[in-house]
Amino acid sequence: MPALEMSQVRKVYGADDQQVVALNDVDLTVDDDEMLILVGPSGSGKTTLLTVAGALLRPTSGSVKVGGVEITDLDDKEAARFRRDQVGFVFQSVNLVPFLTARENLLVVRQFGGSKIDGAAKKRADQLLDELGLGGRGDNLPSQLSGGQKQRVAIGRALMNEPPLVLVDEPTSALDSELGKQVMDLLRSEIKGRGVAAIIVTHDDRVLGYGDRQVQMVDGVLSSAAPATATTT
Amino acid sequence: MYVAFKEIRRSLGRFTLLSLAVALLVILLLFFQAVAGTLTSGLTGGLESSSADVLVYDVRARLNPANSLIPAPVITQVSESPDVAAVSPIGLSVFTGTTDGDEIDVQLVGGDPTGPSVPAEIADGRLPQGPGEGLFSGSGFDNPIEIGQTVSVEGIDFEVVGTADDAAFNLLPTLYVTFEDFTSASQNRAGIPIEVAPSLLGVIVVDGADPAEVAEQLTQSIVGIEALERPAAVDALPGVGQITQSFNILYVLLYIVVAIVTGVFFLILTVQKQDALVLLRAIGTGSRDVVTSVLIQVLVVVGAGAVIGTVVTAGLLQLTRDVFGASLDSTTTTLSVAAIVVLGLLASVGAVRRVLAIDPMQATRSGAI
Repeated sequence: MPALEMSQVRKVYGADDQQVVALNDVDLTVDDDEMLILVGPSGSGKTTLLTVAGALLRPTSGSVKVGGVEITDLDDKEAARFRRDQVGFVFQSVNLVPFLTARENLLVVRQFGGSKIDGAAKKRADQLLDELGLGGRGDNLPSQLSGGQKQRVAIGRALMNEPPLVLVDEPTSALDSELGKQVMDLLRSEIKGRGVAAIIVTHDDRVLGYGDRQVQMVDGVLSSAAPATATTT
Repeated sequence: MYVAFKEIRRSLGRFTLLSLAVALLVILLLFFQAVAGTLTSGLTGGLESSSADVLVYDVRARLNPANSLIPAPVITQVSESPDVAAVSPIGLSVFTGTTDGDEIDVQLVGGDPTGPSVPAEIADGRLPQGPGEGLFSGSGFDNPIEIGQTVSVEGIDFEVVGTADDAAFNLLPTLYVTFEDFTSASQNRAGIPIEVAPSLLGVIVVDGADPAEVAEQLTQSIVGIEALERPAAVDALPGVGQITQSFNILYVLLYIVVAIVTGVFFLILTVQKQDALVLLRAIGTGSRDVVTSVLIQVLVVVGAGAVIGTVVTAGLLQLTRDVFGASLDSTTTTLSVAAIVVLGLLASVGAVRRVLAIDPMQATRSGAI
């Protein structure tokens, strides 16, 4: 079963003359353990596609299934639970809670919705931080971390609940070349190592070779898929 | 809860400051309440703690005991009225007395110690049984006079044989004596054997009778008197209403300040951490969880402030006990603290509304987080 199936998904902002079609009858399937790179110019609808796939935004029409479950008809509470349990997000900018340490930023996703932070959760957080090269930084607040380290913590948080789908928005936009490469190496390693599906939105050419497949979006329309053009590491 | 307590821990300074601000307001509130309680108790305690169900005034006194004089025939008329079980004259007058060589103002209350002229309950010792004995009750502003001490008034030595709590008149040391001793002290002060009339009559109604109805019936049936049931007589005492009203205005102002301080603090805090809240909502935290987190912080901060304020006030009142003897009333304190906590929660409605308005989509906007 595919990790993500989007069928005839349309998202329109505004009304009447002010209408903007952000997604124009998009069809997209992402298989389990597939790493998809979504490219396109600014304003082409990439982030909208990501947010629809992650239940942050409801499409105007069409069907979105994650793990075979239709998510377009979830109410707000169900959508929040879905995001917590089924999706790992890495947002474009630095995205950590500033008053929580790196370890706590990973653990916080286990806190809400009635779950508990038990010994297993702490062990998993420490293990993830180790894998991300942040073993000694668990007790640091975000303000004590570099940009690359913060992005790695965000990747760790996205993987903390072992979601079947990871959605990553412009992971390298705020990083220099070296840090960007490190983060993408790490991201690919973690995602492929866990066998989960991922969509990585980017307009950074350096990222293109890290995916299994690459699709392009222009004016809300997906162009034909293309195989990845480069290999990594 | 995890996020709420972690944030408090990491921003201990600002949360402590708010708790201290709330504590300061609680100190002011409880201190005012204690002082007001002592003031009103010193004014009303004599009537409030009386064993009389109904009090009878001269109608011309307009319910002011200091201006009231009851003619002798009225005592008989009241005694013979329906539903009246017992009547006692109550003589009230302020004298200059001495105790341990010090001059003091003393309120004498003369009456029948076995009738409705004395406090319903005594704290220690016994009621006076004859001439030269007195039951003492002080306001919080007096040095206490203890059992065995002697108070001399107009050449009469009164040995204190018992004490009662909160049964003073006019914020003065108050001595309950027999009506005969009261008459003697009044005549000694006048220098001639004047006729001494009681200021009030204390009435006990028969079992099952309604004091308010008996008071109404006495007022209607006997010319020249006005009778009130005891709680109404307490409320009608001159100055009590004004004092209570003035302090009530202060209480309301303090409650408003608590609400504003708490509400503004948490609103500012919510605005400052808007990005963190957007992120939490985006990664799957329900709005209920985020709101709960805010309310837990309000409870902790306001609750801690209330506890600190109560403890400090209790300590301050203990230290100043010799000055005006005010103390915290547990019921009033509990209600005030509960009101402050509830107000704090209500005041956080602005912060809660802001949390509920968060759109997790903002997490995807560049620079939003």
